[in-house]
This record gives sequence, structure tokens and C-alpha cells, in this order.
Amino acid sequence: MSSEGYVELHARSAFSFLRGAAQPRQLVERAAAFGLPAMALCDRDGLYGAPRFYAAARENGVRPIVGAEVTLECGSVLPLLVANRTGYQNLCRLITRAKLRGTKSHAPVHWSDLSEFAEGLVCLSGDEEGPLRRALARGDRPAAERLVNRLREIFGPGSLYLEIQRHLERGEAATNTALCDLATSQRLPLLATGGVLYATRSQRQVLDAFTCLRHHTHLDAAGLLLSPNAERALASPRRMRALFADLPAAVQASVELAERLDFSLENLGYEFPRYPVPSGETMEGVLTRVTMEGARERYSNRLEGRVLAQLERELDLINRLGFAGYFLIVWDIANYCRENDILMQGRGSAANSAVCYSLGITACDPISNDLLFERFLSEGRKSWPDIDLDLPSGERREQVIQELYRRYGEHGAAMTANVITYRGKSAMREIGKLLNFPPDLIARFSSLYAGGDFPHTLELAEHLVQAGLPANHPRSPAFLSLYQQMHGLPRHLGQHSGGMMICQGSLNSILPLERASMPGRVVGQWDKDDCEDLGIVKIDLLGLGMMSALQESLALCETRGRGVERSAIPRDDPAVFALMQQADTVGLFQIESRAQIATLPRMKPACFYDVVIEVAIIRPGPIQGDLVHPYLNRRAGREPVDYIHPLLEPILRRTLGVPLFQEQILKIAMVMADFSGSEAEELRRALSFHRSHERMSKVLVKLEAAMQRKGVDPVAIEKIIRSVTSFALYGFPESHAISFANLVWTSAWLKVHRPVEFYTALLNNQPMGFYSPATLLRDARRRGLHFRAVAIDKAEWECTVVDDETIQLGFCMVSGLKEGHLRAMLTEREERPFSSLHDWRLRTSFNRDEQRTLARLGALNPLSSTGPEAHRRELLWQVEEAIDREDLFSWSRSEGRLPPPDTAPLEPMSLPERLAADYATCGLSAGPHPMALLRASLPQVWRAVDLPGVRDGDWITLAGNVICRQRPGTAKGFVFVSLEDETGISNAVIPPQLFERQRLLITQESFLMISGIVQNKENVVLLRAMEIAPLQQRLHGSASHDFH
Amino acid sequence: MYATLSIPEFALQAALGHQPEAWRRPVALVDPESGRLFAATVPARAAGVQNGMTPAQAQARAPELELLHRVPEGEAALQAILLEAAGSVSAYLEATAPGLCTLDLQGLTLEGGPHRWGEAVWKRLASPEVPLRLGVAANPDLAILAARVATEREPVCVVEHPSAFLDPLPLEILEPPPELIPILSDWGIATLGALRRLPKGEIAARLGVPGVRLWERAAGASRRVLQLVRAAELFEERFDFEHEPETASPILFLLRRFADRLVERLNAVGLVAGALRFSLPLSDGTLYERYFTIPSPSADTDLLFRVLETHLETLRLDHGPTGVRLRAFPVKPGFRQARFFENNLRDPNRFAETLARLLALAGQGNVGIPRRLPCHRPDAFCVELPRLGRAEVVEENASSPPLLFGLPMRRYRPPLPASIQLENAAPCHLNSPEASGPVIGCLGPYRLSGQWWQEGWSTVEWDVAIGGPRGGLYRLSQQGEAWQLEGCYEQ
Repeated sequence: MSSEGYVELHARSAFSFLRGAAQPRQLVERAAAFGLPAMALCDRDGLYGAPRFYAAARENGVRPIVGAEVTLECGSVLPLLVANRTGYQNLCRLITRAKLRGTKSHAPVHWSDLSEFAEGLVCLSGDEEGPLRRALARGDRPAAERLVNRLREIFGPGSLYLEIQRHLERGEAATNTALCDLATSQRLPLLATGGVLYATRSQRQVLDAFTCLRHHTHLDAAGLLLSPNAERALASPRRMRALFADLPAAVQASVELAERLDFSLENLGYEFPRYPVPSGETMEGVLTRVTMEGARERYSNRLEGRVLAQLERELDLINRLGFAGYFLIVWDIANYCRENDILMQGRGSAANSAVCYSLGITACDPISNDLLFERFLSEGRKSWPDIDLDLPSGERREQVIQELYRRYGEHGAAMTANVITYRGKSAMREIGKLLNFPPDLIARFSSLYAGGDFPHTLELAEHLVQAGLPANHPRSPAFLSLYQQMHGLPRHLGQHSGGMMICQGSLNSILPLERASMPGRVVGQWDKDDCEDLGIVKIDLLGLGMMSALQESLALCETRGRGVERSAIPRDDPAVFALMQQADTVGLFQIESRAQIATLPRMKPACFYDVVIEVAIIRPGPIQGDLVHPYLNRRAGREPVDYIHPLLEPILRRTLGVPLFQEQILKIAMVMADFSGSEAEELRRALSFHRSHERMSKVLVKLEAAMQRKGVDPVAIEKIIRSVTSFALYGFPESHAISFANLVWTSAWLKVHRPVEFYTALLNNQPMGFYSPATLLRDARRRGLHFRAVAIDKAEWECTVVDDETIQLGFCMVSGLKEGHLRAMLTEREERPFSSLHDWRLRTSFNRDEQRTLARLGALNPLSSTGPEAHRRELLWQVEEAIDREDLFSWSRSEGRLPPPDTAPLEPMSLPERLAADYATCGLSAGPHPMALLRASLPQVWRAVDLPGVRDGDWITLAGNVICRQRPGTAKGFVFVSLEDETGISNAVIPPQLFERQRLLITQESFLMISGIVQNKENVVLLRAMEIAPLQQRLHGSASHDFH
Repeated sequence: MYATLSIPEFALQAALGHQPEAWRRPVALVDPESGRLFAATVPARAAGVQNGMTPAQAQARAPELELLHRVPEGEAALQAILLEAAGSVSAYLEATAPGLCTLDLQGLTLEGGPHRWGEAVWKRLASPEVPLRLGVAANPDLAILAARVATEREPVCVVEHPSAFLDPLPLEILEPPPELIPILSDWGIATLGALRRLPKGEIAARLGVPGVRLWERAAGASRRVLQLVRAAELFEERFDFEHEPETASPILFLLRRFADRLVERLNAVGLVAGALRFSLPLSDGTLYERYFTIPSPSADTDLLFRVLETHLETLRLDHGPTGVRLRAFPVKPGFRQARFFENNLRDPNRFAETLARLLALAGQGNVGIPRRLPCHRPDAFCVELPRLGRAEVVEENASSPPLLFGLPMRRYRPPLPASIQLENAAPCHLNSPEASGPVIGCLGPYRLSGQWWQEGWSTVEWDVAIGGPRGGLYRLSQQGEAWQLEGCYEQ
């Protein structure tokens, strides 16, 4: 390295969470621009940003050095740099030790830990938060000397550097002089560092903002907490040399030390756990054996020809790449699920593997479905294949996760992290507070832009004006600048919904682990992409509410003597296709959304593969790429099928020439550009929506060049490139679509043939899906089911099946009740039924609010002494009466020896009152829809059920309970609103201008009246809104699911 | 008999005052604590705005809705006016609630019967600025309800048949305790009649004492003693000129007379003046107003007059005064023994007078004790007038700028312009009115910047040693291209 050079060895990124203001990539790009040969990232108490720093550094030709600042018990902070792999492992263990010992907010490193894990680490004395500078700032020279001696003892004489920084602040000269004296007297090297907190000076604003957030104050009140200048930006070697012109050796020391720090994240030494096999056997042998056994079962002992060849090809590749143990371990998890009656299904590209299918990991046969194995695994692949398992959400999935913790230990298994970043609304709220904007302005902004990010139709500045901040407000420029800079910066670390890492040996030597907020969970400091980039295997254990509902439905069917095997459900049931063609899909998996419902009558699914396409087609990628209409048009015969090139016909035949699936893109690349399996996979990875544009451009150029070399027609090349590019936003594997279509099919079949069990399970597994329980209940009613209101003598915790047409609502639907109190009551009821309200009150532990809730809902009516004449207010009257559990006579009355209380002097609730009470306590009602009460007063308003009869182009008015507001990113600012009335659901589309004009009305009112022009085409009715007004009557309805 | 005077829409009245235009617009008041609306004008309510809504919900209904926060000072002033008005009717009065005042009419002759008497009182007290409602009834709670029921068209309501009056009234008019509202709502009790029809004993068993009190009020059967307050005596003198005076003499003359009268009245009740408010209505319709705190509250005419006279000496107005107002704010005379180690002012009033003279000469913000502001900006300070009569304790805390030890520096205020020659980006020669010569040593630069979120500032400082006969140690600063001599270090 040049003697004119400099290496920054002490920098924090925004992954220090409110203590740094730049993305690791921004730091690296700046370092590369300055020509720094290497740079260290020392985030606070973790290696959160290390993988991204590493990736960016490699891209930019900067050597990344790993480090971290650790907080000591006294509150001071010590930067540690990794010299070698032992040092890296020690740093991970050191941080893990502190994190697992402490709390989420306070987890200091003990001095004894430092001694234990010092090997391979280089210690810097730190900046103004370091223990040495703190001692010197106090003027306590003896303490400083003691500290230096202690650190030298721990890290060794060659691994301790006294860090000197110059930020052009008054007073720092005195401390630095003391540091120089100490270095001379102790014969320790001085090391010049920048104490970098941001990449460029302009990011000082963000650091000040973060400082305020950390201290829960605003900029006007922060005073001296804020930085005095913008000198903590990354500096060029020339500037550092100039700053330390009097101490050139301190700058040179950075270069020399950097040369010593010889560790890279490239080789973490990660090993996937080995699967224990009987002695004398190998993992490869066991995998082959169990695969063949499974295959014989799956393929009914017809292991020949294509099946056998595919299995042998896959096994050969898996064994050669060393992934046999991985497959066995996933197989083991699948077995655990089966043994413990947990419904499980592999999703994603694993479904392309016949081995996975044979092992029972996935549910769809890749051979009969002609799926491309290379999408899952290919020759030359370095990273681990991705096997994601869908599990029932809730307790069953947690059981699997805890089983993995049990098997691999706290230091051997961890959830992957999820980095929560500043996005639209969260950034706005924080910045609004920082700039001391009035709370009502912030609240108004939040109400206007509830969905978070708000691009579409208005500039951010205009959003601010709408929220009440004048355009010429003196703080408006600061707001916009801060917003742009903070957007996307990490806010805090959460845990991924299902990604789990496991490791041979201890995972805490691969990356630091810490406690998640959720009890019993340990989380790694990297997110799933970071882990994947660094070759750490994660198994996604994803919770699906529908899996849970399906498992419960099937179990209920079994209990009721009309059980059905999921695998035995026929795939050609006309009733199921009829259901889909009529878009009667509320409650179904994946195809219940408004967009799906609008497509189904056009698509008219007639075979299982149509369902696969239906799942795949209504997604951002195809919509963005304008692929929906070509497919539907071709399907309806309105436009000719074009396979782009004759060679592509076999690949695109099933999708009528429209590339919909990632497998098709891979095959196109392999056929048209002679890409190998791994090259095609590289193309697929580059096209993933979160990858860099640069990477995508490179791979597209490569594809184009390869096709040109092969002599493909330029028009076809252009069409192919356009099709491939449309996948940049969101690609979708065919195997994944098939896996999901399986769930769609099962849910649809159950809705048609086992409705009572299906709806019961749906209600018991809320929240899930697109619709609220109230909408599901109304949908079930339209299918002829009846619901019994929650009643104290009949209802269980969960909803239960009464008979083939009746569902008893359970207490789980009631809000405001403690589950413990309820369960205790159910036990008591099982022992002896309650004879009266008095008896019930004495024998249960509900507080007065809970008693009122149950009485308000009518759940206590069966306990009334007036019998069938009982009304809710009678019980509401009685529960207010004081009750004395110590009073002997209370118990006498409970046993029926005293006369019952007098009748309540209150009028029964009217129907609207009962409805209001139902919605307030349950969010739904077994009674009529609120709109039914208004119908007589709205003669001009059309009912949802009558809409198919409206002519295209007619002007009509609709009204109803807003159950969904959607503003898809791909809809160019159009907003879709679903209104529910007593007859069904109607949909309206609101143009952007109208939405912006009446944004608050549309987002705040729960009942709307919308007038406009009807679009009635191909059995899909949509109202194009022109006028919107609130329904002024005080109505209670279900809450809306909003995505805007 | 009892009477209740009320100001309808009290909080809105305080916020909007007598602005007929504002009342015709959709306006609502937001409670800063709950963030929800608690009062709205008629046009706002007509647009569907209801109390309890969030501002966003309300603006969804009425996009033009103006949102205001309540004005506590305005409410206090309005309440004082109400009490003063009530005090002119009866000495036995209760400040029942904001905007509500109840009077015991015992001993008064209600000429012409309660209704005619009420109308006469209303005519005397009501004004466009202070709309009033009056309720008259046999007990205080009934009178309160009567005042609440009274309308703009029928501002006086006399309750002659309590049951018939009460039964149809909505329950909210009683403002039930918050914990009872959901219970009564669950019971479907919407009117006072419905509540009254419930057995009192059963109410007692379920809702306890608060329930019984509510029931009694609903039945018109509550009996309670007024919590009497004395109407605050207004120590105010005023005079309106027929012609605008051309000199200050008539005003001074009047002020002397006002001071005499006010002191006389204060002495009569054993109080002293703690503050004075001096106001001049001006010919352009505006009001000139100043508030003077009397450091050592006093009832000395000369002293009070001197305060006003000192102020008038330097007062310049663009428009002529059309009147004079002087109000004294009374306090109890304080007797305070000086503590042994306390170094109190011998005559705080005299000191205050001196400060006032200095203020008149030097201007606001230029007289007082300088305090450093807790920020990084060099020489950022404010000047605070001393709080007289109390020992000042100045504490250095975490928010104070750090103390740096070194040579003391004498600042030039304002800083002196300087001309600097640079060599290797560092000053090498200084030329300024105070000091000139070659720079023989320098420390720096020290960069400082801040307040980037609004009118940001940025400066670069150097400490330089100047050689030659006009040399010394100086602090230089650079803002943009301009250099300044900030100060001189004392050696």
C-alpha cells in the first residue's frame, strides 16, 4: 500500500441504529471515490451492516475490514477490529454472550468477556465515548494509564492502538495532546481515524435527527446534544494527511494496521448440520435410499423410465454438490410435522425437485407437471438450494420452530432478522416530531396517507401542503431533505416471519445472535438476503393462516364422520370450477382478492392448470408487464397466440405464448441463448426485484449477445428481452404457483362440499385473508349456512359445527374477554351447567367489563330467569348489581333457594341497537346487515346482487360498508373500493383526481355512497366513481382491510 | 329560587369571540389532550361534524373545516366577565363550571314574577360580545338545566313544572360521570324521564352514589348548597376622550387620578397592586396595551404613577388615543423578613423603575442579565430581565455549553470587520481597526454550524497571534467570504 494512503478504521453506519447516518454502501462508494484501499465498519454492538458492507466493498474494489464497537459495563464504548478468523469468531461470540445475557436495550460486555474472547482482535481506544478519552476528558491521567495497561494485558501489546481524531472542534487539542503524551510514555502506537458517522457532510442532518430520536426530543430542544459541525464525514487520504500533518505516523499506522487485518466474510466456515446416519452408511446413501422408498410410494411403484432417470439425475447432482445432509434434515423436519399431525407443504422452487416430492417435502409432482429442476438446483451452484416449508400459522408452526431450537440449541439455531427501515408514514411521523410540527398536522398526514409510502399521483411536497403545512413554511425544505435521506435507512431489527438458520457447531461463531422481543426466540443479526449472500442456509418455516384453516377443516370433517384425504380430493370437480367461474371465491386461498375476482369470470378456469395460471397472473410482475390482457385475449380468441419463436412453442404452449413463470424464462435462456443451468439461474437471480439494476443490465446484455451469436431474429430478441425484463419486478416460479394452486383447490373444494367445516375453520383462524369475519359470515349465509350467536350455555372458545348447516359462534370472536377467564368458565360449565345469572357470576371470575360485554352481546340471555322472553338489557341490568361472594345468602340463591331477582325495568334493545352492540363487541353480527336497515330510505341505490343486470355505461349509485380500500402500486393512482351490502359485495374504481380531492372522505368513512358509470363486461361489474358521499346515518359495520 | 347564567358554546366563544364571520364558517375546537373535537360551529355540525371525531374524520365530512385549539386565557377572561355580570345580580353566587354561574336569589324581589325579572336581567347583562342564557328554577341544578335549555330566541327559561320540563331532556345535558355513560347507554337510557322512571333504590344498588346523584338531578330533586364565591372586584378605571389629545399631559393627568382612585379602593380592602395594565384604544380601532409587574407590590400612588409616567415618556404612537384604561391587579401585601445571607434589593420598585428607564433608552432585549444559550453557536445568548424579589440561582447543567479553560476573551460586539491574507489556507496577515499585523502563530480552523433545519448558520474560527506594536491574541471568524475580528484574548 502506498505511503500516501490512509485506511479508515473506525466508521459507523446506519446499522448502528440511530448512531450512524449512512448506508454501508454509501460509505463504501465514498471510500472508493477517495481511493481508499480498505475500510473498516464498526457498528455499535453488532455486525448488522457487515454483509452489505462486504458486498458493496467487493463491488467497489475496497477491501472490507470487519469490526464492531462494543459497549462496556461503564457505558463507554470500545472499537474492536477483526484480525483473523479466530478474531471474527471471538467477536461474534463476545457480542452474542452480552446480547443473550442482557436485555434488548441494555446488554453490556463484561471485562471478563473481553479477556476470554480477545484472541484475534485488535482494540482501539475509541472516540469521545471511549473509556480512554472519557478518563482524559476528566483530567484523570492515572485512570487513563491504568486503563491502557489493562487493555494491553487483555489484547497484547501489538493489538492496542491509541486512537486520535480531529473534528475541528475547540477543546479537542488538549485531549489529543494528552493522548500523544500517553502514547509516548506507554510506547503505544497512535492511530488516526475519522470517527466516521456518515459518508457525506449533508448526512449530518440525519445524524442530528437520529440523535433527537434517541433522546426523545426535537431539534429545537436538543441544543448541545446535536453535533457542532459536519466533520464526521468520511475524509479522503489527502485530507487526513493534512489534518494530521504533525502526526504522519498516526496516519501511516492505519495503512499498516489494515494490512494486518486479514479476514474476509467470504469464508465464514459455515457448515450445515450433518444428518446422523447409522454407522457404515453415508448421508448420500441414506438420501438415495429414502428417496427411492418415497418415490415408490409417490409413483405407485412405477419407478422406471423418466421418473427413475430424473431421480437419478437429481440425486447425482445433490450428492456431488454436497447437499445430501441438507435434504435429509429438511426431510426430517417434514417427518416431524407428519408425526405430530402438522400440515406441511414445501413451496417455492423446491417443488421443481422430484427428490423433494419423493421425500414428502413438496406436494406437486414435477415430472408430470414438466417442471424445470434447474430452477431449483443446477451444476456449478455455490449457494444452498432454497427449501421453504408452509406450515399452519400459530401454535403448530411455533411447535416446529421450538423443536429446531431444542435440537440445535440456543447457539445453534436462530431466526433470520428482518431489518425494519424508515418508510413513508413512519419517516413522516418521526420527522414531523423532530421538526416540532404540531401533532394534529402529523395526525392529519397519517390519516391522509395511511398506507405508508405515497408515490402514485402527488409529490411529497404536495402531500405536505394537503396535510396543512404551507408550501413556503421555513422548515419545509428541511423536511423534504430529511425525508429523502432517511427513507430506507434501518430503523430497528425485527425477526423474519419464518426464516431459520441452523448450523453444524455453534452458529454464534458465524454471526452474532441476540434475543428477539418474542419470548423463547433467538435471532441472528443478518437478514435473509445477507445470509443467502454469505452462504448461510436458512429454512423458511412460513406460517399460512389458510394451512391452519385447512388442517382444522379436514379434522372437523373427520370428526363429523365425513372425512376426506387431501390427496384424494378430485382435481376435476365441475362444482369447484363453477364456483371459480362465478368468482364466488370469498374466503379462498389466493383467489379471493378484488383483482382475482375481477379476472376469474374472464379466465373461466376449466382445469387445474388454469388455477395455477390464475394464481400467477394477478401479481405485480405480470400486471406491470402488461401481460394479463394478452393472455386473457389469447384465451378468449381475441388475439392470435404468438410463441415469439418456433423453438419456444413447447415452453410457452401452456401459457399461450405469454411467459408467466420463471421456469419459462430459464428455459428460454437455455434454448435461445444456450445458457447453462447455472447461467440461467444467474439470470433469474439478477431479475429478482430487490437486486441491483446494474447486475440486471449486465445479465441482459449477456443474454442478448448470446442470442445474437446464435443468430436469433432481432425482432424475436427484442420481444424476448422485453418479456424477460418484465420479470425484474416480480418473478414467480411455476412450481410455487402449483403449490399454491393446490391450496386454492383444497380450499375451494371444501367451500363447495364441506362448507360448514370450512367456514368454521376460517373463522377460528382469523385474522387471515382479504376479508373480515363479518364478510366471511355473510358469504357463508349466502351459501345457506346459519349462525348461532355466542351464548353462554352453548358456545365454546372456538366456533363449532352444530349441524351441516349451522355454526355456533365461539367466544374467540368476542373482543375484550380474557382467554383465561373464558377457559375457566368452560371448565366450570363442563362440571355443572350454570343455573342462573347469579350462579354464573359466583362461579366465574369475569370482571364487570367482561360481564357487560357478554350481556351486551346477548350471550347471557340463556341465564335469564324470564326464559325465552329474556332480552339483553335485562341481563345488563342484573350484572350491575353488586354481588358478595362472602355472603352465605349469595350462594343460597345460587343454589336456587332464594327467589330470582326482579325483572329489569328497561326496554329491550331495538334491532339497530342490537346490531350496534354486536359489531362493537364481536366485529360481526348474526343478525341482518346494517345496510338492510337503511334500504327503505335509499330507493335510488342499487343492491350488489342486482348489478349483473345493469347495462354497461349506465349511471347508478351504490352504497355500503367499506370492506376494502386498495391502491395498488401498479394501478397508476386508481383506488379500488369494495362495498358490502346485505346482498353481497360491489366494487368501485376511483380515479386519482377524485381520490386526491376526497381522500379523507374515502379513507375515513366506513359507509359510503358512490355514484358513477357502470362497466359491465364479461360478467365483471365495476363502477367508475364520479361522485362520493358519506352515508350520514350512524351505522356500525365491520372494519375495512386497507391497502393504500 | 335560583338563577343560572350561562354562556353558550363557552369554549368556542372564547376562541372566536365576537366575529360573526367566524361563526358562519365551519370551525371546530380540538382538545389538545385527546386530539379529538369537542366543540363545533353550526355550519360545521350541519356538515356532519360531531364532537368526539378525530380532526381527520371531521375534515372528511367538512373539507373546509377550520381547526382551532382552545384558548385558556380567553376562557379565563370570559369567565371573569360572567362572574362580574352575575355579581351585579346577587352576591350569593357559585362559579359552577366554565361558562356557568349559579345565583341564590334569596332576599331578592323578583319583580313581575320570575319570567319578567329574568328578561329584565338578561336585557341588562347580555351583549353581542357576551351572549348569555338565563335559567330560573327552584333549585340550583334545575336552574342550570334551564339555562342550558334556553335558546338564542328564548334566552330566558323559567322552570315552573319540573317534571314536564325535565322528562324530554336528553341525558347528556346532565353531563353524567364518564364511567356511567356506557352503562346508561347500554340500558338505553336516553332521556332524563327514562332515568327518573328507574327505581332510585335499584339505581343505588347498581350505580352507587354517583348514580343516585344523577337520578336526583334527573328528577329535579337534588338539594345542594351553593359553593359561594365572591365576585372578583374589578380594579379598573377608564375614560374616553371626546377629541384625541395632542400631548401626553391629559393622559398623565388622568393616570394620576386613576392611580389615586385605585389606591384608595385597594386600601379599602387591604390589598396592594401586584401589576398594572395600561391600555390606550387608538383611533384606528386597535388597542395599545402594556403590562407592568410591580416588583414589590404596593399601594403607593406615587410609585404606581411613576411606573406609568416613565413609560409614557418614551411612548410614540402612530395613531392618537381615543381613551385611557388602567387596571390594577390586586394581591395581598407581602411581609417578608430578609434572610441573613440574602442580599436583597433595598428598593426593588426603584430598581425596576431604573430598569424601565434603561429599557426605554436601550430597547427591549438590550437590558438585563445575559445568559448563554444551550447550543453550539458562538456567543449565542439572550438577555433576561431579572426576576426581582427572589434570589437568583444559576446552575450549570448538562444543557449548558461546556466550559473551556484558557485565556479570557473580550468580545467585540458587534464583531469588527477584518481583512485577512491567507497562506496555505491559514491567516498570515490581519488588518482591522483594532489590530493589524502579521500572524505569527495560529490555531484552527474550528468549524461550527447548526440550525440547518431553519435559517442555518455556519462559521469558521481561528485563534491568531499578531506580531508588531498593535499585536496580541485575537479570535477571527469567517462567514462565507467575510472575515471578522470576534474578540481579543486578555493576557
